[in-house]
Amino acid sequence: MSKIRKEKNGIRIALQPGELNILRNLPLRLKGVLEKPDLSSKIARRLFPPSAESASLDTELRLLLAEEIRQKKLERLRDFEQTVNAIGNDTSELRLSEKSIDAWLGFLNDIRVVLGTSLDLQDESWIESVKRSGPWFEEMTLLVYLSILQSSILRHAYGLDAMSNNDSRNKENYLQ
Amino acid sequence: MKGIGTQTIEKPDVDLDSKVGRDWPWNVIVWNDSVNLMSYVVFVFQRVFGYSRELATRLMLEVHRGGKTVVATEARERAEFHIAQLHGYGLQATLQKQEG
Repeated sequence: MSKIRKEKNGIRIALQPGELNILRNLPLRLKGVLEKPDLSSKIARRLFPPSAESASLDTELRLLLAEEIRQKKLERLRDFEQTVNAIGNDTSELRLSEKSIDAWLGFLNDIRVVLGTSLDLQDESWIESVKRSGPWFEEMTLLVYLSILQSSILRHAYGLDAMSNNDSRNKENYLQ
Repeated sequence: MKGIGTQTIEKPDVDLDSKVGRDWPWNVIVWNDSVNLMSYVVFVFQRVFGYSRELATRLMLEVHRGGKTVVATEARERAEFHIAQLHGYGLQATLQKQEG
C-alpha cells in the first residue's frame, strides 16, 4: 500500500509498484456515466440519488441541481486524472494540494460507490461476507484497496482516524 | 474517540446569508449507506457545513445507527445548496419541509 505523509498545505503519496496503473485506469469507470447519466441504470441512480422523498419535489430539485452536481463530479475526476497522469516514469511519488485532496476524496468515493452498487452491497458488514474467489473477486479487491487509500488520505490529511473495523482493519487483512 | 485532532477543514467561502429567502425551515436529511466510510462522512459534514469535529462525528453516528438524521435546518435556498454539495461528495441526502 502507498505511504502517505502530511506536508505543508497538502500531502505526499509514495505509490507501490502497480498502484499507479490501477489509479490511472479508474477515471474510465466513471467518465461515461458522468458524461451521460442514464437514470435507468442503478449506478447512475446511486451517483445521482433523489433529492427528496416526494416525487414532485425531487423532479423540481433535479432540474435545479443535477447539472451542478454532475459538473462538480466531473471537475474532481479531471483533477484526479491530471494528478495521476502528471507522475513521470522516473518517480512513484505525487504531491496533492488541499484542492486536489478534496478532488481525490470525492472521486475515490464515487468510484467506491459505483463498485459497491455493482456488487449490490446491502450493509456495512460486506467485507466479512466476501468470498476470496468467484466472479466478483477483482471488483471487491479493488473496492477494498480504494477504501484503504481513501481512509489513509483522511487520516494523514485531516487526522480523521478510521472509526470502525469496517473502515480499515478488516480491509487490510482482506488484502493480505 | 481515538484520533480526533484539531485539524481545521475549511468550508468554501460562499456567503448565502444575504441571498436566502425568508421561507423557513427546511430539513437537510442524510441517509445511511453501506459504502461510505465513517471518517469520510465526518469530513464531508465538516467541509459542507463547517461543523466542529465533535458535532460532525455525532451526526455521522446518528446516521450510522438510526439510518438517517437531520443534519441542518435552514432556509430553502441554503438547504438546496447543501443538498447539491452533499450529493457532489457522494452522500445520499434529501430535502424536507419541516412540519409544524
